[in-house]
Parts: sequence; C-alpha cells; structure tokens
Amino acid sequence: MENRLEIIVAREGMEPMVLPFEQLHDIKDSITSIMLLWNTSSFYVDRLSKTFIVNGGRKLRMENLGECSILYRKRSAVTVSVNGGEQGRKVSWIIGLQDDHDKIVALKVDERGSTWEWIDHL
Amino acid sequence: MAATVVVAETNGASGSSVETLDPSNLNMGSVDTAELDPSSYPIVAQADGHAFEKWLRLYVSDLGGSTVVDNLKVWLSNLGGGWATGEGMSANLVESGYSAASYPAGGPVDTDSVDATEPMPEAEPAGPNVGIGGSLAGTITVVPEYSDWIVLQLDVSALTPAGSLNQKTITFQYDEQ
Repeated sequence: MENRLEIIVAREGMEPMVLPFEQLHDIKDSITSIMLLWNTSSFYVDRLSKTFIVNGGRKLRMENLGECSILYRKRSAVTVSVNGGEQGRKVSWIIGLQDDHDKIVALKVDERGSTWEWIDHL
Repeated sequence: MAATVVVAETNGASGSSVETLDPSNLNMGSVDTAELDPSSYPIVAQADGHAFEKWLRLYVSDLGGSTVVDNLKVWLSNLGGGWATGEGMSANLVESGYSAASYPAGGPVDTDSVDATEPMPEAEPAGPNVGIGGSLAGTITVVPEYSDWIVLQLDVSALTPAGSLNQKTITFQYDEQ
C-alpha cells in the first residue's frame, strides 16, 4: 500500500475534510485542528484545546501558551556538495501552535511520517 | 505540488555574467566557474589564500500552488572528514544586522572577500540568514524571483596540505505555506 500523506483539517462548525497543502493558506485563520496522516503514523494538533496527539498516543496539553493560531509549513532542504558531486533534496512537515506572544510549540515530521521531533522555533 | 526552488550560481563580470541553475556541485577552486573540477583548478596553499568566491542565490521559478516561500537558511551540514589544517569557509550569512550584498562589477574574486566576512555556519541557524528583498523577514509571493546573494569563499593557509580537501555538504533550506 502506498504510504501517502493526507492532511485533514477541521474548521469551526464544519466537518473535518482532507485538503491539499496548497489550500491551507486561504483558510488558515479558521482552522481549529490539523492532522498529518500516513498509513502507519499520525500527528494531530488542536488549536482550541492546545493539545497534540502523536501516533494515537496520549493527549498532550500545552500549558503556558496564550491565544493560539495553527502553525503549518512545508520545509525543503536542498543539499549540494563542495569538492564532491552530489546533490539531494529532503522534505519535512511542520504543524503546531503559535501564540500571541510568538511562542511556538510544533512537531517537525519527515516526508514519510517516520521520524519526528519537537521544535520551538521556525 | 511543491514550489520549484533551485540554487543559482553566477560567474563572471556583471556585464557578461553567466548563470548556472541547479549546479550539481559547489566545488571551489582557482577559477571563477560553476561545477569546476577541483583537481584541475587547485587553490594555492599560501598565507591568506582563497578560492574564488561563490556568488549564489535561491531561484524560485514556480510557487507550485504555495502562497509564500520564506525563512531561508544556509549552513554547512556535513564536514565530511573535517577541515584540513588552515582550511575554513567564510560567508555573508548572518541572523542579525543584515545588509544585502551586491554583485561585484568585476565578478567574484580570489582575494580576501569583502562580502564573505563571517564564519560559515556549521549548524542550522535559529532564524533565517539569507534575505529576500533586502530583509531577513522578506518573503517570495510572486515568481519568478530570487533570494538575496549568498556569498561563500573557501580559505586556506600556508599550512594547508597539498591534495584533495574533504568533501563537505551545504544545505539550503526554505519553508512554504
């Protein structure tokens, strides 16, 4: 089975829906929760409750955050060698919360959803 | 879809400069050319020795449905076997007090760069260290568009041993939303 990413977004008063990344920007201020979903891994953030759920585990509530907005990015890294002949490209996904004091709590997930880490800045 | 972003290298005097998009390497040596063979253009080991500068930009040709490209970061992500004696790299990459570089009329130089005056970062910077439109907080929302100039220079000394230097890797990172 292909391990393809799906982005699922919920907005106030609306059913969750699968959206392509390119459509997030226009609705970003109304997003209440966002989930990155692969076949074997999932990463969920809820803006209103300030909670994260990683791979179906325990709900983690972030204290010490003010009023939050959903944070999301697609990050690309191009690598080029010096004194060599190699080039590469990697993609990762960032979802999380940014509060009204610009404090960030977010997850950075690799392109296939296999590895992840917490980040506190972009 | 994703934004189409590549590294662009410029060589030569400004009136006749040549741009190479998506170079396969950033090999540095004793000639101002993209994708050079370092064994054919070695750097002379001498006091205050330098390779020709590399004048680079990130080039965004297509947003691929994204609305914004920003948060540009460049750093040395792999030192390979490490620095040789007297070897180092200078850059114009800073996270504060930023001022965009201007392409030199005579083209890149192999004397001590007046633009690449900072140590090359060897870890991902906390914030952007490459500007867009003259500002680290700049964004690209209309294409085609370039980032500001990224200036790199490999430095050697009289103590740098002859032979090949260890292969290193530079990472160019950007965010889309």
